[in-house]
Amino acid sequence: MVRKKDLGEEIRLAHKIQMATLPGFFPQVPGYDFYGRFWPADETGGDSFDLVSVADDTVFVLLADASGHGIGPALSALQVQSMLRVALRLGASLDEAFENINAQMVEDLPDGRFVTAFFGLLNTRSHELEYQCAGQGPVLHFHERGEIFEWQDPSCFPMGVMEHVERQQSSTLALQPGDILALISDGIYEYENEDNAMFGIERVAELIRGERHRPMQELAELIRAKAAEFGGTMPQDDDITIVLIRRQAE
Amino acid sequence: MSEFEIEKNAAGEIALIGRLDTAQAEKVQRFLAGLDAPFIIDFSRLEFISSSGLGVLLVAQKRVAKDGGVVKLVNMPGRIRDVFRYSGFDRIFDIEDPAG
Repeated sequence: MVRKKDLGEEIRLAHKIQMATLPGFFPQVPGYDFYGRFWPADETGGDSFDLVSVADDTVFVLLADASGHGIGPALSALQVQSMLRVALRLGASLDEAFENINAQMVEDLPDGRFVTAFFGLLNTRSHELEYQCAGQGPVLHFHERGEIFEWQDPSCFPMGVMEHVERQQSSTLALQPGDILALISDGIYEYENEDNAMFGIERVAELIRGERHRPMQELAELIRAKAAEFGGTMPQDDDITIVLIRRQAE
Repeated sequence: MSEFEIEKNAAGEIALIGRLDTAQAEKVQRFLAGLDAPFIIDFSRLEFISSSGLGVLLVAQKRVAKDGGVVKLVNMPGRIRDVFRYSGFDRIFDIEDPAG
């Protein structure tokens, strides 16, 4: 039997292993600013992200959020992240990777559990991002020209829910100079205050619009700080992950 | 403390009331497991639904769908509708949006 003290040690170790799977530094690509960070609600959390160069001119981007939080969901999010990394390293297309990893998650996850995930490959030469979005909405694309926001709905339900009837085709978006892509887990949008009001998408959008000239690290930390400030005395109740990509203005 | 209740009226329609968070999800799962399809769930008094809440609805939907049945979700407030939209669950459930 594991004693309580030992269990605490085990959880701290699990936290350490989980955090070690997240990128410790971000791709250094001229003309781009990448940043990602995960703030778990518990010692371990059900979110994960990735931002890593996988080939010349190509950056892999991921935000995954497993339902619930704690050790079980942390393992599921980590499983998706690892399978995606290996699939792409082996040269699978996004569509193939999605189909096969989803099928594996359907097999492995307990009933009622699922993982929402946005993942894509950004070509930093053509500035096109090919992506799949399984229940990880909204995808916020800020267009510098016209200072407008485009909120994309997911293209599919989350991973692990059921097998796809037909292969899901990836989508593509193009980043123009000054554009920002914001992948943010629901821990920010659903951050509640004492009156049960939520921080919401509009506040996030306004922050990005107003503070977009800051480095992405500062912007991510500001979004999290403003959500906590909005929450007042309410503690962070859900995992928070923020991944920001800006194509620098020319 | 979050408060949550499940009601079933004379017509057999189920209402989820309050906050369906992780702590309440198991209670809903047990309740729905005992019901025969088809059934209608009224969301008009639901204030919050967590991912665990979505999960228990998914379990019910899958069980019912095996026999060709349907779970219909009705009267969703905007913020709950957004949760279904942004998680892609609106592609799985039969959601009846209020007219107009």
